[in-house]
Amino acid sequence: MSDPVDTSSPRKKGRTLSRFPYASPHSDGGMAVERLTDDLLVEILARLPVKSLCRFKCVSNHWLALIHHPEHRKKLPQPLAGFFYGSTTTSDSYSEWLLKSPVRFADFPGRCTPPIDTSCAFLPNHRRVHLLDCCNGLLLCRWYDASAQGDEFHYVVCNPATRKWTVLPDSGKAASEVATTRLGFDPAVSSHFYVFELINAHELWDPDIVGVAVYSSETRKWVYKEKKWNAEIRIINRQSASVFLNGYLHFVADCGGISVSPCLAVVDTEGETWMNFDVPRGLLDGFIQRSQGRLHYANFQRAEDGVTIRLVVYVLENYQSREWILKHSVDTSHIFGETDSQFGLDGDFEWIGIHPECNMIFFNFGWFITFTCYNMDSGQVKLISGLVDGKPPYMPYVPLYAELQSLHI
Amino acid sequence: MTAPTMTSRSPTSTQRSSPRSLSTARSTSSTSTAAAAPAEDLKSFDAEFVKVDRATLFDLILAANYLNIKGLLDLTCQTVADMIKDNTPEEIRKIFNIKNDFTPEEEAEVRKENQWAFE
Repeated sequence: MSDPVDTSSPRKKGRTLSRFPYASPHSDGGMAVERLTDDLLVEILARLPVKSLCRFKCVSNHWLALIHHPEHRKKLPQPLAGFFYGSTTTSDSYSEWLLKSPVRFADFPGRCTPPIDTSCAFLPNHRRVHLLDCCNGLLLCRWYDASAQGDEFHYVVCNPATRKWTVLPDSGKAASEVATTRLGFDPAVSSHFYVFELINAHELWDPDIVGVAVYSSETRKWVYKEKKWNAEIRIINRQSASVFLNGYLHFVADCGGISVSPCLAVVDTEGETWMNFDVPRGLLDGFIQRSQGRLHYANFQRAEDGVTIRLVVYVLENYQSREWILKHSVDTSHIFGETDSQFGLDGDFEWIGIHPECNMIFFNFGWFITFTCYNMDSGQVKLISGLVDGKPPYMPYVPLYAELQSLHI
Repeated sequence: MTAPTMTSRSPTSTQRSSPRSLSTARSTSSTSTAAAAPAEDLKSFDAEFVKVDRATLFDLILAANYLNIKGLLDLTCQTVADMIKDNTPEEIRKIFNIKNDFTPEEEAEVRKENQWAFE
């Protein structure tokens, strides 16, 4: 912490402090506030919500520079920088499941900080990099060594903002057994990250998840735990979004044996707490995302008249009551314009994301690939930009400039 | 806020600094050898402690920084952050006595780039 600015001649410390008045004769703490050093200002700014911080970039050139300063960025909350997404241009035999390489990045307007190497070119010698997940600034990738043969890969967790990465040890599970691999990282809680491998049963057709292998960057070990859900849980879509929040990995899944219904499946980093509970009914599979510290669920529902379709957004109230609170509901005609009743929800609509810090939803709709933003507060619908070739998974990216011990070259 | 660790100082060297923070420091350090107060009591003590005008808050930040009392610095900075988080840039300029040195075009550009934060 820095010393307060003292432009007077050298005095004993106590005497200097006595010069600070409590009731300032100037407007509103004029004397004390002007003596705040940059370090102290950053201490205040670091405790602001990111929305406020972005507004205060307009205060003055000095504040703008302060907020963007490389040293201060490590302490200050960062805004959404953009979305990672898959490419439709390159083709692979198993293309429908895997994200193409190189990773693609759609900038979210509002970013005026130095560019981050989101192509992950800083990763060592590789043939391919497949982006699997992105969580609070860290990326989880499959890294195919340039010299390796076939489908051999290693998991790599990296931070594009600091260009640091680490290679994970082998999990011991064959790639064919893994339904999906996800990253869990919450810097507000811990500087350590977790990687979850959801393991399928040995069935060719429609296997359900039998367990989870979790890697902890703290122990640097994988631990496999058998499932403790009280129902059969099946991944609906390998690319659907998962959420890491409150120490749990959440994902929407198919639940049940004979009669299947969608549910929210939850597992913690120890593989000890397993939960599954209902999600609000909807016309699609439902989309979950972390926003403003809460778990959000979005879907479409038919209104009481049986004709109108509504976009609905729920928030999980708590895990004990399993209650979903309806946060927002709007007729789709308002967002998409007047269309036929079952307008191409199946084919023409894709969730992209929910803004991590405000009430905005991003999606693709229509024949042409768009990047549309719907503001739940203002009701405004805006076309942000045209994605040239985008397909799921879409992952919101918020840069993390802090150095992490768990990442090393 | 946990009891700050205070190295012993002679009363005269600090007697005219912000009396609130010092009386707090004395009262908590004098009980530092006793059992710690319940968390809720400390929390409500903290909340009451920072119910002061903004000028005094800034004084407290400076004093906490100078006296190297981390708990007090955390508390006071968080309080100021909570106070200002909904303000507009113009209101911030008034509070911190800052001159707007952007040209209208520059300000419009920064504002446009961060439009989502204004909605």
